[in-house]
Amino acid sequence: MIDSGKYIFRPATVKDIPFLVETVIQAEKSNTGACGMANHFGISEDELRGYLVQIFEEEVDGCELSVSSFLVAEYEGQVVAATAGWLEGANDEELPSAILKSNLIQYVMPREAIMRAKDNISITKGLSIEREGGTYQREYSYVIPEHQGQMLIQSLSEMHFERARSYNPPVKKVQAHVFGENKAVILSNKILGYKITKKVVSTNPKVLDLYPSNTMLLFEKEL
Amino acid sequence: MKSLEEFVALFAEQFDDTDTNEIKANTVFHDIEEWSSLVGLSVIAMIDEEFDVTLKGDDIRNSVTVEDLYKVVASKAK
Repeated sequence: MIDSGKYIFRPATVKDIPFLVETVIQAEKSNTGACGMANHFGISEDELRGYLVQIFEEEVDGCELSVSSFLVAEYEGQVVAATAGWLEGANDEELPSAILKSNLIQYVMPREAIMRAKDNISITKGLSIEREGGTYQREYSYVIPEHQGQMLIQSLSEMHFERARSYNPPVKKVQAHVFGENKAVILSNKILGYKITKKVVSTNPKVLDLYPSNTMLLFEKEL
Repeated sequence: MKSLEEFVALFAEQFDDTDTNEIKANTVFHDIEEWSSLVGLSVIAMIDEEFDVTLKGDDIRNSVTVEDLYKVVASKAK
């Protein structure tokens, strides 16, 4: 039986990279078999795992592939849950996280994968929602099955909100992008006080060959 | 504030496949086979709606029985 008093919540470190990689993979699947990121680049999950390790090891701050963006829950020395959040545009050059992520991917992934992703842009662009500078962005959540139902993502989300409030000046808004089929995250976000402010639907039938859903929702929460 | 019996009935309604008669005040709810993040979220949503109480993740995590959770809700109710 799980002893709820044994959970430790803390920022991630480079030692947690294997779990962060698993978090990205599982979140990209959104409880389906389709790993959006692997499909987008036309690579296997195992190949993606390897590239994600290299990306995280670069330790570039300010996007969803930054170690410093993640908070984790640990139980008896093992990381069992993780979720990311960061202040959009809060890096030395005030670059959007999409640029940072793109630079990291282009640095580690082979040219063929990048070219395949470029070919897929026409399919996936209908699902794109821009991240707003100065807002706190939430992405990628995962809890290993044995610890699901312990409301760990709820607790980690509350920590992210505190982190957002601690900036000077305090961040006023949190945003999260969620695939339209992800019932658990949608319900979780509503309980956490988010409201759906935008919905985009791709009419390209091929999008479902790449992603778990043809719908992307923008959730926003005022802090 | 609703009674413990009413709370147990509302709690049991959040499960789809579990016999509601199996859920009592002294049930260790984390041990119910159907218990999951989604059911937990549904319970939080129900408590928000029915009791106007917002629970945090650790309120659910630190409660063992349904009655424990009711006591947390009662302590936070306005």
